[in-house]
Amino acid sequence: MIGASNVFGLDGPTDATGTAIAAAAIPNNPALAGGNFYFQFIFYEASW
Amino acid sequence: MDWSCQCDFADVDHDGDDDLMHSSYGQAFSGAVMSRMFLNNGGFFSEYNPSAQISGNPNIAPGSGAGFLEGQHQTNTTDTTGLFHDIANVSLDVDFADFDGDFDNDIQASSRDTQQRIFQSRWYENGESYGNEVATTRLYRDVTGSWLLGPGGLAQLPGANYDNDFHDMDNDSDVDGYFLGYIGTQDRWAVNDGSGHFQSFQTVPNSANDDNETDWHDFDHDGDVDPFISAFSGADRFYKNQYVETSSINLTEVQLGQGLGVQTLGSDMGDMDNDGDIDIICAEDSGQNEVLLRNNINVPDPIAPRIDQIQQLAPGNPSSTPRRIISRVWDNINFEYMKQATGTLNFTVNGNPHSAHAKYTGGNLWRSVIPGYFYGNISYSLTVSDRVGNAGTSAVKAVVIPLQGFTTFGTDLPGCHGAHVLGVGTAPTVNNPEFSMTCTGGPASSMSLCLVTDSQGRASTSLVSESRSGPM
Repeated sequence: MIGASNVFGLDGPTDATGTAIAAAAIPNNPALAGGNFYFQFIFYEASW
Repeated sequence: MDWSCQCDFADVDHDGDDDLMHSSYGQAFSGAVMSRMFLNNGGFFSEYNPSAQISGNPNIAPGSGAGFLEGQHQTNTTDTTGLFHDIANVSLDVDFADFDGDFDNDIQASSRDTQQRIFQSRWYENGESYGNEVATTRLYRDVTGSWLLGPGGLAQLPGANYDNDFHDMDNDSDVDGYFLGYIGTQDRWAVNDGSGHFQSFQTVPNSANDDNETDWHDFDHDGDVDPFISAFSGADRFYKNQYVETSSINLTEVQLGQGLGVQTLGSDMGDMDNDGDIDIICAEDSGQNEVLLRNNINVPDPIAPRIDQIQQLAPGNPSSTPRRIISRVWDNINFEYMKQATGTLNFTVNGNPHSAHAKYTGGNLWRSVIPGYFYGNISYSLTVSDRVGNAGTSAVKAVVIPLQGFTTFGTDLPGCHGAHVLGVGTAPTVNNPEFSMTCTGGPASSMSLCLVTDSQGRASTSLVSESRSGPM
């Protein structure tokens, strides 16, 4: 992922328990068949 | 070639579009030309004729298997096993309704001069399919012999059966009927025993007239439906259904209106002046002016639609096929006008609320769907709002769809270094607008970004067409 040239960013705010849900609607697109996709969550956390 | 006076539309194969029932009365009212069914396939209609047999032109011969009914054509048959049917009558009217209460649309076809017919939809009996020629099953079966002529029924000797109309006359949640010219020119009404059998045929007072059409409405807003008769000879007539007041239908003629039509071919119900009550417009023959009967009750209809039956979904796995839900809906107006109402399926998935449009699907049925990819605890109900805003809601049904297609990848360590591949899930096989990734154990009430690339390290435009992609 770190070497990727281009990424999608999906918002995923966390709730009070620290759970983040990122909605990624899968469209009706035959080009998706057999494809691999890679997902990574990055969290922002205040340092104080 | 045929001779048709009326057709009706309904979704007979539960695919979400309206199919066509096309009646025929035959050359010179011979009752010898078959009625036909046409299926809607994305806006294009094709005849449902599973045997591929072709009728003679124009008349169909006894023994022919052509058409949408199980078995072979036999004039005036009373067989109800599917071996024989009568597909050629003097049919000037055809109506869809769910007579047997199993959530599919059956058919009633008038016949001016011969035994009128009733055809049962076999959709559910056939395992939610059209049927199978090898098994001699088709989408419809002629059940006239038991539903119209069975115990409690009444053999007719019609001479003027130009039209019938169906509705729940006694608010007991099945489809009753008004039969024009059932014996001679005299009208009858009859109630349904709940399983499609019409019984207790009653004479309509002062109905031995040459009438042409009947329509349901509720002119006095009392909550039961009243028939209006379009008379081809003499003045049109109003009858009052007394069920709400007396617990007995006991149709009684009432003198309403002035300037009634006197040679009416047909009438339609609707709120012409937008005051919330139902008016009537009558089409007159012989060059006479049409007649508009304005209802001067002048208050909006206060009766909400009634949804007393909604299908229970069967448990099953997540699926690419939406889960279809059929409901039986009633309102104090004929089915033709009821489709002006608005239907909404409200449902929750594990407590999260959703809604979907519900569609009038012919007769007294409405159709809605829940996407097949949802799983977990699903509960649902249908709300139908009539044109003036009265809303009725069904009971709430519930179903549990077991968890499937959900992958837990495991536990990772925070930080940027090292490999972070936790697992591989199989690709979903259906488009899913509700698909999401979940990550737990993050900072509470914070922000996160879920990054997505394809195997080439690119933001695949085939996955998401959003503009929030960009170079790292």
